[in-house]
Amino acid sequence: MTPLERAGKNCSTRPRPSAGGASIPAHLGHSYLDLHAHSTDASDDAGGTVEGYLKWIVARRRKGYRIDGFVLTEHRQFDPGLDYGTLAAQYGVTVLRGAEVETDAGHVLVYGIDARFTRAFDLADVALPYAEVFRAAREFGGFAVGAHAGRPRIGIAEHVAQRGISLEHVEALEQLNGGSSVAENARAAALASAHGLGGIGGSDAHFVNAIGRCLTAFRRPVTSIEALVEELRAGEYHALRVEETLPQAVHAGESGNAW
Amino acid sequence: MPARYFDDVQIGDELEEHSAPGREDVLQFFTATSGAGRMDPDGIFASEEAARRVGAEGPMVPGGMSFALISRLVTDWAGMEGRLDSLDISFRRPIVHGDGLRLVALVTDTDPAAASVKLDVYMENARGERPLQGTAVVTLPRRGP
Repeated sequence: MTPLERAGKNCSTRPRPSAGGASIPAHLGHSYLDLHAHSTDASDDAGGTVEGYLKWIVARRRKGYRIDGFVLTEHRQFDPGLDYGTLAAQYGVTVLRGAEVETDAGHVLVYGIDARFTRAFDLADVALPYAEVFRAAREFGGFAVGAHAGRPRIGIAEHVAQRGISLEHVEALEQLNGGSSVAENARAAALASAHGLGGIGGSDAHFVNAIGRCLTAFRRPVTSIEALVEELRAGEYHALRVEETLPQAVHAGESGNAW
Repeated sequence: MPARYFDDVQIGDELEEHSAPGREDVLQFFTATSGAGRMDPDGIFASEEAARRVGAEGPMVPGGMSFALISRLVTDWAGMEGRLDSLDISFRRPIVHGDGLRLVALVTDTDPAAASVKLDVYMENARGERPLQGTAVVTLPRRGP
């Protein structure tokens, strides 16, 4: 068994609900992060600013929703010098950074990017070798996820169905994407389930109102990119919609999530 | 049309309309904006076959018409004394005749110094897709002292 195969066994699919849909109390530190967002700072098709996202999250919290933070995954680039820490702290929101790169099997979200990864790949290339991207992300201490996996052309499911590409190095898919249709998300979830892959949630926000629409729940607090990669590698996460973070939704067991 | 005052607007305020533009609506749009007879019966806005050739599921609603619909949503909300300063739209998927659409605008930021309001605008279809998304900036009057 290769290291990647071993790693794949750590990736759970969505946890089954416990009896009665009981939730872990917030003070035990689980967290809800939006793992896919774009901003005007670096994505030319985005209309949302980082501060706009932060203000919106604060407004959503007032209405009872829980969004702990988000990961900026700008298109085809990663600037290691950017730091939103001071701004994020003003609003009490975690802001982390990854990238959305484009491969010959659809788009891929990469977390924990370092200089080795940016030396290995030209992130502006729109046809990177997908298997190498997944493999290198893990090898260099990060984690890669197939973005909006159920969408035509830019999601990996179509490449699996039409070209029979291997998922050997793939550990997780974005199975709940805020820009995808219900059918496209169902297609992504089916592929993840069939192959025992993890499933994350991300809004794919390009505009302020979309931030946090789809989230990933983690068992522990995630406030750094290192912690995010650690949790993704551990495989204890699941995708959910923001409506499922409302206290009444969780307590009523509507979400079917254990946490 | 009632006036909308900057003092009454909050981040998170939302307005919504519903629309399902069909062939007649598209024809009316072309007639009103380009003159009668400008809608090509064999083009992507009228012909099933032509639309399918470019990958759409059916004849499409012109982008200009979508833009007009979302523009009206915002200007109606802003009222007679409001001013639409900018409307920046991104067309992300085709809108097909008969698509049931939610037209939504949400207040995402306010600038008290300028009495201006930033809104996100989008259209959402029954499949949960957002074929049109964008932002608008509106300046509103203040309530008197």
